[in-house]
Amino acid sequence: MHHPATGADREPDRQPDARDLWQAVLRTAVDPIIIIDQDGVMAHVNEATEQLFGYEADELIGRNVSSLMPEPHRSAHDGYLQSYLVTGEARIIGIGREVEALRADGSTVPVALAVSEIKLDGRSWFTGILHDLTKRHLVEAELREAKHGLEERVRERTAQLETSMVELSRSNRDLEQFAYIASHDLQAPLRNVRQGLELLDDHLGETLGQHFDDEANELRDLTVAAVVRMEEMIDGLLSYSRLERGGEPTQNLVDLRLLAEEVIDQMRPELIRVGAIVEVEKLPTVSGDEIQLRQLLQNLLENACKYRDPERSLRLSLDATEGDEGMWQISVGDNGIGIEAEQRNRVFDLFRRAHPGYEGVGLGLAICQRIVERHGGDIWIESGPNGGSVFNFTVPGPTRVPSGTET
Amino acid sequence: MSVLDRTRRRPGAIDGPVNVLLVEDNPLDARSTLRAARKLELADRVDVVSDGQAALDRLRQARADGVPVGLLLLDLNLPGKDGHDVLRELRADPDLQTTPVVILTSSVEQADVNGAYQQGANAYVNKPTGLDGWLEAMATIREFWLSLAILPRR
Repeated sequence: MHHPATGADREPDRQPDARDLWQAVLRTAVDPIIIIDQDGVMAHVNEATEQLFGYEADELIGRNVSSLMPEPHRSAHDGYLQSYLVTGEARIIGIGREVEALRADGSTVPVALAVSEIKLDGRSWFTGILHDLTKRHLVEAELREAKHGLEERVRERTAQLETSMVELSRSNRDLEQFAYIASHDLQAPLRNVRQGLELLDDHLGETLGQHFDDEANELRDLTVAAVVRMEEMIDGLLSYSRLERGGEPTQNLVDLRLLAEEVIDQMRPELIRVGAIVEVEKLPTVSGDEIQLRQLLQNLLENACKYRDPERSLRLSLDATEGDEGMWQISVGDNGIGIEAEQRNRVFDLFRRAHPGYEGVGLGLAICQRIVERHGGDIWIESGPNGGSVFNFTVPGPTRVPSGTET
Repeated sequence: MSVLDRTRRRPGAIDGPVNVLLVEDNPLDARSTLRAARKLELADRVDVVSDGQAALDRLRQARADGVPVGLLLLDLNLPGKDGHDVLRELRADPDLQTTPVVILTSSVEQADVNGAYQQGANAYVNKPTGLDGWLEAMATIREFWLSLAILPRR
């Protein structure tokens, strides 16, 4: 605003003497500036020097600059200078470094020191420009502290997470233990209920003779059926929790083809009864727990028989493909009634039954899933080519057997 | 010819009927055993106690009264002195040590089975399920222990 907007050249302000100007700049510079002679004696200091060190200028001028340094530099400084003047090897001059400065009150302050050499009339002078690093150090300390705090927090959180995981796995174990104890200890009272019912039934039969009416018979049968169902559930829960109690599954080489043939042999009467045709493709040798894998195959085949389509004869196929990372995928396919897409994940839940009107308590597939998971594999259902289902599961191949057990 | 008729003709029966003591703390198991016994016309021969100490007391009293227990049906899981304790004490008692003992329990633990035989049990039987099961078990016990087998006598 003070200048015309025309952009026309302005008459420059009257220039002061360059020497006065430089002196003023040096005097008022924000950073302390100290000029010493080649003996280390201070010749000039500026106002910032007075402020930083807490001396008046005339207290400094004529004194050796080493009085502004803490030990060990204080005693060594004369030697540094001599060594430079003799060898020309600079340790600070023209380089600059971070040093401690000693104040009048005895405290020290970190400074960045830059030293340059001036040669005048054959004599050397040195100019030291200092920059107070106190603030920078504070900020750096804060940063360090923040970083440290952050690391500390990460450590704490990690420790918390590890604790939670330990607790989680313990509570899982507790839950498995609970399932076992509950199902085991519930057997006895349930057995008593059944016994009491049968005794009551026998007693009423004896005392009332043929006078037991249809309603009484029906009520008794419904109650007995409920007891039987609960017995089945408890039995299932027991075998489910026994999978956990057995510890890690054993890792033996299991010939799945042989195992499948044994299971099929064992199920022969049922397979003949439902008129099933079973095709077993080449199945691999895998590593795992033979008893559990047998139960897995048996549960899947029994399910296929149970949920067959009454309109056509049951066709079963067992097949395998080699997967990633040494795993094998085994597929058990059928042409049964199939499972709706939204049910396919839920059927693996405990006590979940996809089809009403069939016997069973809904544990077979839960046990299958547990067995597969304990072998480090997955189990899932796809829809079959003829409306049936394909149960796929993965198990580790023989290469995954730990050394020593492999033949 | 009923099982009972045959029982009467066995030489073991010369000295009169064999008394049976059932040691069972579960009232429904006891009732099932007794009901089965009644249907087999054994009711007046079967006595029941519900703990181990009572069993030993009854065994000794019966001997003192001149009507010794000829067959002990012993549950393992009992309050206080359990079946194993009773068996051990029985076998250590010179007056009672020849008493035939049939373990009647719901335990299928191999340790229980082996332990019972080690301590001198004569048979180990699992409790049946259902009244029909009890009838069958008691009929078999009667057939073997009260008819076919010759028991020690004093």
